[in-house]
Amino acid sequence: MPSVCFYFQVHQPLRLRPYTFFDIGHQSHYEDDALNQEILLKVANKCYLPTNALILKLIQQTQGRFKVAYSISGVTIEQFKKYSPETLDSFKRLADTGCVEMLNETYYHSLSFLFSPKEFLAQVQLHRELIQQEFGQTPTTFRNTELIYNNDLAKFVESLGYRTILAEGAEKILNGRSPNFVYQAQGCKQLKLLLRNYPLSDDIAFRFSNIDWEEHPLTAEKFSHWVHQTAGNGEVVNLFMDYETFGEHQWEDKGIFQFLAALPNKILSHDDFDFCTPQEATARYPSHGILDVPNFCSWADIDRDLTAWRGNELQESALKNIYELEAAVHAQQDEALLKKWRSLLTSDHFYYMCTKWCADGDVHKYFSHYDNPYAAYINFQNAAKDLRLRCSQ
Amino acid sequence: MKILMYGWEFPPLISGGLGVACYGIVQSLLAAGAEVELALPTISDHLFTNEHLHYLNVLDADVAGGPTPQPLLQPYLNANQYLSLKEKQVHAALYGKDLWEEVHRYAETAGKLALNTPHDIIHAHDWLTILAGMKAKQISNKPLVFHVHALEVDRCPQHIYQAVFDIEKLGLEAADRIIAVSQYTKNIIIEKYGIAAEKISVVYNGLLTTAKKLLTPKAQKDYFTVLFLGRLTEQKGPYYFIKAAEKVLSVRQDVEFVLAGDGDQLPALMQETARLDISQHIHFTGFLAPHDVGKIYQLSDIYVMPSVSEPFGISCLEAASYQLPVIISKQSGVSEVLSHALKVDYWDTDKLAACILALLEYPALKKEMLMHSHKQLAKLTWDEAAKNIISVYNSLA
Repeated sequence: MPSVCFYFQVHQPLRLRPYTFFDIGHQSHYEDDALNQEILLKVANKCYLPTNALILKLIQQTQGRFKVAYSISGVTIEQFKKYSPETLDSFKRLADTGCVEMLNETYYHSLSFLFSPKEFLAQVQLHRELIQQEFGQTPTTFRNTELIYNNDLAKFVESLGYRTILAEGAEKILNGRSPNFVYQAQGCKQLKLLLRNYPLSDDIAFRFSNIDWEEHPLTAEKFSHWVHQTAGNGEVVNLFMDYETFGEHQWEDKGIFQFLAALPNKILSHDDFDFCTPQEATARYPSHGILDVPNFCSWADIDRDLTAWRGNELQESALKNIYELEAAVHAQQDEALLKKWRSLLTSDHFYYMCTKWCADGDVHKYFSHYDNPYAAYINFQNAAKDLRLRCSQ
Repeated sequence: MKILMYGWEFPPLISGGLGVACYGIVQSLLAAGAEVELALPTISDHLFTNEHLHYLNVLDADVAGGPTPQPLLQPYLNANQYLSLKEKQVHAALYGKDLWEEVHRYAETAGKLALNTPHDIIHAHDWLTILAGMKAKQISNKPLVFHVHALEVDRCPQHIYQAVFDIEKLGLEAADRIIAVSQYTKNIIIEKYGIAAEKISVVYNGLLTTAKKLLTPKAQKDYFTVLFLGRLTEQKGPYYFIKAAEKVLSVRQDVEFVLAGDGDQLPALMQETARLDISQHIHFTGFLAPHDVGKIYQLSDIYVMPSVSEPFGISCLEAASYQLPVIISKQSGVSEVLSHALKVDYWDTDKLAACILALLEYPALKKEMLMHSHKQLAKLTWDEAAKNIISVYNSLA
């Protein structure tokens, strides 16, 4: 009986305010509170609140046969508490249905695994506690920032007791195999791997409103038909995407909510199909083989590698600069300072510095509040310089 | 295709970007197979030669006979400058009584070249030549292309000389097709001169040669040099450069600021640097000959173009080709084609200073910018510009 497994990423970074060289040493508030509030409220109204209400309704209508999973970064939950407590409440109501699994990630949506295992562990722990506290769930599934994954990460995550981990179903990982099975991570005994079915996921996340796409308009019926075609050569279809797909990237007036509203029943209309959460998927389906992923991959851009954050001189110098401060920050034994530093580790800051001016560059631009990558880099480096100064005081 | 072109300055006699642009355009038009009849106010002995390029001396066109002096016109000339220039002439009485009359006198004479010069298209650059172009069109009835490199509203944003503005407007209306050097300039032509957008094509300027080889390795020095290169006029924003310099110097003193160029604001700028007590870090070089321009680029670490209104800004491409990171005002055409530059509003001297400091502080910035602008420059050629100009010609033929 094949399953459809939905996981939605919920993340809003703490964007930096315009921070010039002249602010260094004078001003240690780096975040743009007004902008962050404005964006959070906008996205809450366009996406989180209406989509949560719809998903709750769908769970009730299907008597709990519709299931989804969320990964909500710690910095996003903080912003919910500050700017939109009703959004956090609506997520809690979803968690209470028993049909929603809350995943574990790094609190600050960081690239820390690549630079500091110690910091990575600390952020995973922080996020784990936050999820327990807010949703009463103890996560058994881990997803790393932007689905960054390799064998080493899998081993590390298994050692922390997790049973399930998510990754991108990139061709270079699969080598012709299907993403629609559960796999075992190389070098791991317990940890099982779920791989994003990127063609089907992106049909919703990227192509839904694209009138030049030959399949436009995408109906729930058509999409379910594609999903049903996997019957016989797959056990779990993993649809992983940004939650902002609903109402923010794909607009309400293009019919994205009608699509979502109709989807569960269309999928369930095939008797063999159901929905499951990531932890249910790995519990239910056996491993279809071992997946060896020595090199890092991610779900970003067409490259599906780390170049969205580590693709140029700016990013490398900014990353080196900020991670270099780890020991100095800890030595200060100042919680507020530590939090400032961690907030600068959020991967988005480095994503804004990307200079790949191809189709992907446009996506970077869409998500950036800066004029260009250079402005992003200068702003970040200035803030980091101030932080460095504060570590030496 | 035979082009009757009314140019203004041409190497080796150049005082600004117009001469560089005209040279680049003519060279690439010739390479693309066009024949160019180039009318210039002054024919120098050292002009570049090509079998399909003929220089026309406007004096030859004067059929009335009698003594006709060389026109007393120079690009960027204003009414008062004209009068003082005229006073120095031996035969001052032969010139127009004011700039306005002189321009018309030139137009009458130069326009008549159309009588004896076979051509398919008339191509005029900027306001100083457009009246000649219009006169030529009257004579031959061939299509007139008005190539706009700069407008009065760019040159003197606060003190528009109405007569020049009127000539520009007349020319823009009379032209069959307008070439603007940027979308920025196209928008000004639409908004300030009331011309229909459909009549205007944008053709970006190019760069003569890319990837300049450094003649000598960069000198080892314990300070940085930030360069401003251009006329010291209101339009070019040298004042904002000085203000930014003051702010940079308040943070670090290992920076020298060079203003290369001459202009009516020089005395005021010198006074301002004295008043700010930063004279020891500010250097005025005066007007630089092309050879020295190359040298000054090489001696510099950062190029700044803080123009109040810059139709294009070829110097930024040149600076980038000398491997200088550039900071440009958002009020410029070049910012449409040079993505890998830092961009500021000309009046935002805090931001300008912060950009200079960031470039000095974070070396990765310069490295990344240069790597990408190098690739971008390779595509910004005069051949590409000429291709677009020819398609404008073809649309009129």
